[in-house]
Amino acid sequence: MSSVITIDHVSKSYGTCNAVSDLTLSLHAGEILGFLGANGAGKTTTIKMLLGFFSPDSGQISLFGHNPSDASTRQRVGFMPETAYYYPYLNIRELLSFYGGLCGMSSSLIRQRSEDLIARTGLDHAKKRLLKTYSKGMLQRAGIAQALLHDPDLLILDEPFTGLDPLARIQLRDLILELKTKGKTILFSSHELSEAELMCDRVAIMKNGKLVLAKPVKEVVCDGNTNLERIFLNVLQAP
Amino acid sequence: MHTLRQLSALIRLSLYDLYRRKDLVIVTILAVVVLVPMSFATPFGIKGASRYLNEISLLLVWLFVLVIAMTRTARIIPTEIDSRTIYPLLAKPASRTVILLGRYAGVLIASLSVLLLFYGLYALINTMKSAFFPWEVFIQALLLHISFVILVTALALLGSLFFNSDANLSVSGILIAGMILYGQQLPVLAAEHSLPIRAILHILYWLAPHCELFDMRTRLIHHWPAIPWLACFCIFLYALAYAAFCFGIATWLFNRKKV
Amino acid sequence: MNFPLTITLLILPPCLLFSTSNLIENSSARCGYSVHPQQGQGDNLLDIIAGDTRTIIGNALLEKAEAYYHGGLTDHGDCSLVTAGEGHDHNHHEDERDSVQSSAWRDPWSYLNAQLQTKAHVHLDKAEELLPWYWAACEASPHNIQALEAAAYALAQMAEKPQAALQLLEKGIRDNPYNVTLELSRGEILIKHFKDFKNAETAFLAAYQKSLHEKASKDDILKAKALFYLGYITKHRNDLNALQQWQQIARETMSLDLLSIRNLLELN
Ligand SMILES: Nc1ncnc2c1ncn2[C@@H]1O[C@H](COP(=O)(O)OP(=O)(O)OP(=O)(O)O)[C@@H](O)[C@H]1O
Ligand SMILES: [Mg+2]
Repeated sequence: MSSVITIDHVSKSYGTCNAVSDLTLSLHAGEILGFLGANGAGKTTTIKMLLGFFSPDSGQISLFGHNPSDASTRQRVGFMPETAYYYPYLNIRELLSFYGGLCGMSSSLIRQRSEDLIARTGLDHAKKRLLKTYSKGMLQRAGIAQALLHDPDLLILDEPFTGLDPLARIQLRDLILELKTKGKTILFSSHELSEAELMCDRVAIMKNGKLVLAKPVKEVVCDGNTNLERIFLNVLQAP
Repeated sequence: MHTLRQLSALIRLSLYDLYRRKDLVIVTILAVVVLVPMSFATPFGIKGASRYLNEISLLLVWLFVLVIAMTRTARIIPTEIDSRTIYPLLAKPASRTVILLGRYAGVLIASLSVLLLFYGLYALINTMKSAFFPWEVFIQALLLHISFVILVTALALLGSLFFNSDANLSVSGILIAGMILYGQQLPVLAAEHSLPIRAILHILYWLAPHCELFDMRTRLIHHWPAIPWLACFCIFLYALAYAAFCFGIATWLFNRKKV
Repeated sequence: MNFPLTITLLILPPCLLFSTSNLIENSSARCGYSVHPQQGQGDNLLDIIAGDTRTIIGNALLEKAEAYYHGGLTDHGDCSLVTAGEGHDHNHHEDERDSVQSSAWRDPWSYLNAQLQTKAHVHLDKAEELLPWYWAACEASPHNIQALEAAAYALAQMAEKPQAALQLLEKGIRDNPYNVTLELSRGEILIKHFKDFKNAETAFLAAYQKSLHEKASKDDILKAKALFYLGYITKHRNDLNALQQWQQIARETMSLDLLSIRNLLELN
């Protein structure tokens, strides 16, 4: 199986704060990885480096075997950030058409894909409204739609479940699983351990910038008495 | 093709942004509120004056366009960062240079569209009111005003990579106002001082943007003859070159910016 | 940064000037007379600041009017408005261009700037264009005698509306009850444009009496002018007694006779 994400001994610090230290991780095509850890563990920092927002202080990162800071590499990547306040003076269609244009998509393709995604993310009733009138969860849905717009092979989602109502969570979970069947690779960070347990092939747990556990979910919760939450607490509370 | 689509998407974003905010409406209402009562004024009960109206309209056009263009450009990058839309933006398969170019071109086109709108109205009202309209000077004034907008927005864009938007607006505002007022006096001032200050003033004279070279309002209002077209184009090219220089540095900085 | 706020702050002053200058004027009506025309009078700080602001705005507007008289040129050197009259419409396209040309490469900025500035020295033919600025200057600072005088001159001489000039001066006299100059101007207009010697005499008499008042300007030229005109008018209606009287007063108070006053002031 070919490796989609390769993170090789990567470290990054902000001044004296070691946000990520010596992280090595890889992700195969078609795999779903849950990226877990306490607040400030270094998940978002890792994701930012994966997208080439800045380079690591040391170590190597590659996506599909290429440098993530090349624009062409990102053609195959969809990204949804932690809470973003999308352009308040656009409606969802215009937002998607803007991002589609940035991906170099033709306007007919954009129209077709965005109608589909607006329906899938449940924003149909609000598609004529400006985004400044959207609630937090609605903005989160808009974020999901823009990440999927250009049908990327790799999806990187930073806390996609925050702010979603239970129904939307289930819909998102179904959507992610559907994408997996289409052979897409997905990495998401989350604090929702139950979601991770249900969806992921593998989990990676970070603590203070270090990777403390990276295993297939099946191996982590092998016997019926334990669950991911318990494992997570054990790992984080270990000295 | 790819790059063109990206640029056009970025430019459209700025146009939506400008025309959906209330700024333009407020500006237009203010202009109407100021100009309409004024146009009925008969000072000392005597009719027949019209230049004062032209003067005040052009002053308002200069102020409004300057404020719109500067605030818009100064806020491009800070707003993207504050609203965190910078992340999905940079995650898209567009290079940072294209993103900056597109966002800048968008704001520029949006501001220039406002400028053209106002100048069009000016020409329309004046041609309706009197038979004579100095078209040549008008075109030159418009060209130089466009050059001015190109120059100051590039300056504000560069500033936005150094300062937050309030500081940026203050610094570029002071620089622009200072150059308009004292730009031509710098060599005279330099001659009056001794070496370190003289050198600084000379460097300033050669490097600072010569914002005083773009204002043809008086010529337009008082029906003076046009300036030589060569000079007009030189000033236009100067503005383009200066803006390109500022944009170049801004791109260099933006490509190295950690977000 | 709040965009509407910025805009409002930027354009509010000119708006106020044109639309609500009556308000300013009313609030300042109690400020009384003015010895120094450039200063608003008041006994508290706020009045002083308000007065100074009005004066500054008034002067700026007055300057604008003078620039209009010179075709928009602010830098008009020796041409002062009051003396500039007929025969002043020379165009001097100086050969500045040649001297500038040589420095185009050494100093492109000043070369380009010179191209933008006009070399033609033209005077406005339509006096109406000046009036809005004079009007605004007078409204902005009702105690600015220079503005009142210049506006009255423009109205009477250039726009040929002496009636409007008289009205302006009368209002100015009400606002500045101890000012001699305004009375003199009023009298001059009455003689020159209306041949109304009777009312003119009243004006000059008032000017003379004000010039004796302790609150008035101590400028003897003004007193001399008033005396001359009073003599002139009495002579005009052949009242030789009165003429003698004015002669006497002139000799006593100024040690000058009316004829030498006339020569001194270049009046006719
Ligand atoms: N711009 C920055 N400057 C300084 N320190 C930073 C910066 N961004 C992040 N950090 C620090 O780096 C560490 C990792 O932060 P990061 O955002 O990656 O955490 P996270 O795992 O995403 O946390 P959360 O679950 O709260 O989102 C934290 O200690 C944080 O304080
Ligand atoms: Mg995070």
